[in-house]
Amino acid sequence: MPSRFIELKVVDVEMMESELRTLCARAGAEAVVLLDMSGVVLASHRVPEKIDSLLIAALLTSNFAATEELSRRLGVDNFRVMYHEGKRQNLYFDKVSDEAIIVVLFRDSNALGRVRLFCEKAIPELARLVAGVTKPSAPVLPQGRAAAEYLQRIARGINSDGSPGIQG
Amino acid sequence: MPIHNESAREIVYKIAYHGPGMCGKTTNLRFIYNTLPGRQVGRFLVLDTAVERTLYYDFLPLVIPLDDGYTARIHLYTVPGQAYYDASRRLVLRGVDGIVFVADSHPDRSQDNKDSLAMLKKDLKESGLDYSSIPLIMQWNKRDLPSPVPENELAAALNERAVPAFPAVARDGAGVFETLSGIVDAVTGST
Repeated sequence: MPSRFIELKVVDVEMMESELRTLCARAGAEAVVLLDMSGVVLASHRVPEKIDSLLIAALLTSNFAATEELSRRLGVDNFRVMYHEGKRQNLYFDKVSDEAIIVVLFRDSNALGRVRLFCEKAIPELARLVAGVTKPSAPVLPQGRAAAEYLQRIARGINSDGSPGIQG
Repeated sequence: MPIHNESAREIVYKIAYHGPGMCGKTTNLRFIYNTLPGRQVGRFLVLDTAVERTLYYDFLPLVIPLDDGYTARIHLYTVPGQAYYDASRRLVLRGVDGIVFVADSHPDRSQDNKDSLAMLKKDLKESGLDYSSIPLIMQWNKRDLPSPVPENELAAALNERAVPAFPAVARDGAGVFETLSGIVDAVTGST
């Protein structure tokens, strides 16, 4: 069993979303998302439904992690901010804690400094919220057991459908 | 680390497939992607080179609906097998909940398997994770080769933790879901 896990109660997500909503308004942003470092969305505000959030979350976190690793190898200490400039829209990444980052989508009519300022103001509270949902040990969840059983049924079905028998 | 999101009624686990280059990690994910119904798999992201070697990682999210209205999201990643992509591997291992080690059964790849396992231990340590305790499953792939290394020899060389090991021909799908359900078992504490 993994030694740590994140448990998000309804109230936790509501508090995170409230912080993101405030940040979005103050920073004049289009959308904000809070991600854990493994690439999972913890909370978001105004992320368009048409976006494949699973895929985007994986790409955003790996992008940030890759740049963080690059910085480490170049001897840059305390890397925590990354910025992508697009033609009309830009992305601003800021490290909330060792467990999470926020990514802000904003238009080029908005000032980067404004986004950065209000991210920095929001980060202490977001870091506190993320720390509050990070638990020291993972419980056995019945939903996890059900997922494992579902995959076992698929495995048995494929075998009975005539996939090649494997001999050691 | 696992995520239990009561608000979205979902649980999320991250699993990484590790092993030497060309051992069949991406092939495992491709079979899973092609087998499960469309609503249960997200987009299959492959960041590879022109010669289909994984450059950065592959990513396949599984979405498994459960009876009680919950959804289990299993995020599957592969890591690049080549030794010189160690930085990329460590990034993918961030927050990972379980590992599938895919070994190549070809006799000429025995040393590559050992080297890759050594890299896994090193990568985990540098990611703040412990090889001796992380949920782990072994897969002996390419069992359809004319003279594969016997399973007991693979186990003696690689499976020092004596974790469950599954023979497989990932290209044909044999053993792929047994391996997947095995690692989900291990990660969720079902066994």
